[in-house]
Amino acid sequence: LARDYLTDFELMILLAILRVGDEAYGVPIAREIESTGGRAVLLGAVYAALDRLEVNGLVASAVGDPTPARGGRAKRFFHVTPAGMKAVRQTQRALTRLWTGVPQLRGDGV
Amino acid sequence: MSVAQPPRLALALLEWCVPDNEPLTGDLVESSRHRSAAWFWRQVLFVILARATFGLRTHPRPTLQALLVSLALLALLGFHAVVAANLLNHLLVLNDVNWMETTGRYQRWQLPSTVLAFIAAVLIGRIVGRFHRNHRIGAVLAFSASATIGAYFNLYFFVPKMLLQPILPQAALQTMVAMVFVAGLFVGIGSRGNVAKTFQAGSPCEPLRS
Repeated sequence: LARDYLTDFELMILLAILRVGDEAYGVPIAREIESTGGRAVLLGAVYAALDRLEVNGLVASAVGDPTPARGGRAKRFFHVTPAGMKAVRQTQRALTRLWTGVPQLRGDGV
Repeated sequence: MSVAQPPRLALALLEWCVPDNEPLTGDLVESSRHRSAAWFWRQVLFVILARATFGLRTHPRPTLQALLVSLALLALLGFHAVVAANLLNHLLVLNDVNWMETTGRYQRWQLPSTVLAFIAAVLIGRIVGRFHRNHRIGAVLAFSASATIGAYFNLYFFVPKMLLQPILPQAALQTMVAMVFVAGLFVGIGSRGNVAKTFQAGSPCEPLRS
């Protein structure tokens, strides 16, 4: 079923793709989420989410040339589509509105 | 413990279950250099599970159909192998009262069932030959081995007093009795096209276009 919102993991993946840039394939995307998101991820989960995002038109992919370092297997490079950018901005605005005005999050207290 | 190469069995399982996602396989191989074998196995099992659930979500009907057909085919293979096993078991122990008491008496209905088993094996062989044109022998051997193991475990667990018998005669018996089924598979495969093509080096298994 198509959804009109992003899960936290899908949002992290979209942001990771944007941060990595042109070299965004599975390994650096997962590494980016692990290093900046502070959570271990399964590559299968990353690909499952990427497939879902691609079905929904939020990302697009292109297969590169095979490389010997990967046993002759090609990389699949991802980029965020305009629809994906729109979804990221919508989610950012929604989250910002939610964060704003929460007294427990004001100042530097924990 | 980190490994230089991913576990071969896990890699083979991944490529067999998810044959159309070469980039994912490459990513896992690339990431596995400084990881443990357990890490790789965990990744592979998750990928297979994720693929199954993704298929169910996006294409529920064909995925369920494929699942049911696979289960039915497995059940057919196991059943017919056991029927074949029973017939040859009867032939082997026809005059041996002790074996008769151990493995049960031959029933009249088993003869037509065995004929049907042979016919089913021929049909399955034709299907195998159609979908695995370049790997017919390998496919038949894989089917036969799984059917033999299934038949052996069926008899081992369900035939009265089987546990009292030494292991070697049982294994030898089951190996022999499964040959009826194997013969049927080979007849089925040989009935379609030129068998000599089987031995040619070919491309990976692919269904016929026609």
